[in-house]
Amino acid sequence: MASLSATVGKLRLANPTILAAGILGMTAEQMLEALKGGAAAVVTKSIGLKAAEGHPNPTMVETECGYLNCMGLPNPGIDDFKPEVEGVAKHDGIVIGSVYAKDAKGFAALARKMESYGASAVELNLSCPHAAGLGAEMGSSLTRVRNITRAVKKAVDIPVFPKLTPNVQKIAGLALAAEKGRADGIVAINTLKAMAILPEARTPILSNAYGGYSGPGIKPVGVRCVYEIAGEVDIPIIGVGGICSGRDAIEYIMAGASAVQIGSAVAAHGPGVFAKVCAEMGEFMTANGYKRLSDMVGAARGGR
Amino acid sequence: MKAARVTDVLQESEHVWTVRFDLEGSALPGQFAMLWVPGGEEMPMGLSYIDWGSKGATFKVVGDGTMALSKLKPGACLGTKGPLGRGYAIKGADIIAIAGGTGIASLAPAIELAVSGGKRVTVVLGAKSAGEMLFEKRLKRLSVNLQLATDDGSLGKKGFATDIAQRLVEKGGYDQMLACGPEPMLARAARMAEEFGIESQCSVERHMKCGLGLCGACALGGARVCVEGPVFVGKALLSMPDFGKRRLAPSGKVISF
Ligand SMILES: Cc1cc2nc3c(=O)[nH]c(=O)nc-3n(C[C@H](O)[C@H](O)[C@H](O)COP(=O)(O)OP(=O)(O)OC[C@H]3O[C@@H](n4cnc5c(N)ncnc54)[C@H](O)[C@@H]3O)c2cc1C
Ligand SMILES: Cc1cc2nc3c(=O)[nH]c(=O)nc-3n(C[C@H](O)[C@H](O)[C@H](O)COP(=O)(O)O)c2cc1C
Ligand code: FES
Repeated sequence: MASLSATVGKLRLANPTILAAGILGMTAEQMLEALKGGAAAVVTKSIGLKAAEGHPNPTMVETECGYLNCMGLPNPGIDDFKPEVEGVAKHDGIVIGSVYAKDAKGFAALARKMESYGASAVELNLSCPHAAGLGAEMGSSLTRVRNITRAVKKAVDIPVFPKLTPNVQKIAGLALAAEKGRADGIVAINTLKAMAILPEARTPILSNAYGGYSGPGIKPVGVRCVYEIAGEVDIPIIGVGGICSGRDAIEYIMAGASAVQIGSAVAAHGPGVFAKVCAEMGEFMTANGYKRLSDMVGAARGGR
Repeated sequence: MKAARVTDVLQESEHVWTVRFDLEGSALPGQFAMLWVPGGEEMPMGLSYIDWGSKGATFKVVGDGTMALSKLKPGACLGTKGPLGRGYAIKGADIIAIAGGTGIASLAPAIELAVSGGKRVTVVLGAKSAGEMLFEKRLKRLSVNLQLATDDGSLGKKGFATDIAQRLVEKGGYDQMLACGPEPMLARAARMAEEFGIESQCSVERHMKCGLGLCGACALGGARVCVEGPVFVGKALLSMPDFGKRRLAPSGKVISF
């Protein structure tokens, strides 16, 4: 039997699949469903200092090869979110707390609270494409990525994973900036900035007009981003974007990812998608003579 | 998202309207759709008509979104996602359906299906007062045992629909209970069904955003109301600590009913 156990820096995972931020991550019970469905860890919804309702509906629409969303970072605020993180941690679930703020100080304060609630790591949302002044708007600046990462690293002892936006000329440059800020790993990618129009209504469908594209259509972009980042940094990478099957996950791993996150595929396959992806990875590994997951990490890079 | 054409807009009572639209395809009773008047807010609505070529929603005007729906004119464009979620799975030969307020909207197609399938159906139709009684005519056309109940006694029996239903259930003979209405009413119905050993199916509401099972806004226990619901087996609901007690606000803050 091939071993699927994975390591991302200090984080040890029973398998390489993690629930992506913003998918079912609003309550402890839903995150526990993802763990029951086979995920080795869960990322919470991105949480800010204060409660926010997000954008009005329509906030999500299906397209040919995935989904567009402009949720706009709805969240109950960090203090109200405490029982949800604790509710997963007390069942020995590995929780990665995703946070967003408008400056380094805010990120550091949120990360400290996530750590005190029992999160095993924090993910910095530097990449949401549909929240004015937040997410990708700050995450496109090399200095801000470095400074925010550095400030959070000073504030907490748990691993810190900045999550990067693909909506830039050179994502590997952002990854390098994060590494300089002493990041413990990189998460890539968040959604691609996109739009859908209902022709009969002559108007963009999403209330924010722009949204983020996720699902199968973005997988080739995500794999390319991970490949580029792996060529630039030495810290581990968590690959995310359009993963629905074991083969999809293996593409990310062979591009250089140590683990993967799955989001949109939960719609079609339910929370059991993690076990499905793991089973398919195991079959591929057995058929192709891989004993350990680490044997596949970066395998497509040919020493590059 | 599919663009449908509005075919009819009907006023049912002072605050309640039905919009019919030409969305094609099969739908199960109890399923819902996300409806969007372009430029306004998209919202979840139970389907009150589920014919192949024509669907409908029956709703109370409570805010901007429902107001915009009520002001639509035939020929207007309506953005739709759906049918979505799980509907009622009708079981047994003798059914009792309990509806509170606009709850009858999504129950009516289930009642019609049960009657056409040869089931014996009792309907307890509850409203605050006579003026708010919904679908009385639609149900009178069917061969069902129709019991009307109003909180103020202005039509039918005075009392809550669940109290009227309790007296019927105590006499025995029902195989299944279907219920749709305010959540405290559903909690009473589910407990009553448990007590009398009847299987129950209840349609619940939560604030919905994506309607596709991703965003987590509609959490109820570990379930997503937009995918595993809106119709749940009563026994499953009673095992969820938040049923009848708590729900998520649009921000995700936990609030009490
Ligand atoms: C599965 C489901 C089926 C429904 N079926 C019906 C129906 O058949 N008939 C009917 O009258 N109503 C139904 N509703 C409730 C309906 O969605 C709300 O009345 C409607 O969204 C109100 O919008 P508004 O803009 O007019 O009011 P607003 O002023 O926006 O809100 C008024 C109240 O409506 C509710 N509401 C608002 N937005 C949403 C949302 N996105 N999701 C859920 N609730 C919301 C909240 O309780 C809010 O306080 C259903 C809800 C769900 C979840
Ligand atoms: C409904 C929805 C909500 C999301 N919310 C967040 C969020 O709060 N924070 C974040 O960093 N990413 C968020 N994302 C992005 C995902 O975590 C992920 O990066 C992206 O969807 C690509 O992966 P996928 O194709 O597997 O969905 C969200 C995506 C979706 C579809
Ligand atoms: S409304 Fe988004 S998961 Fe149900």
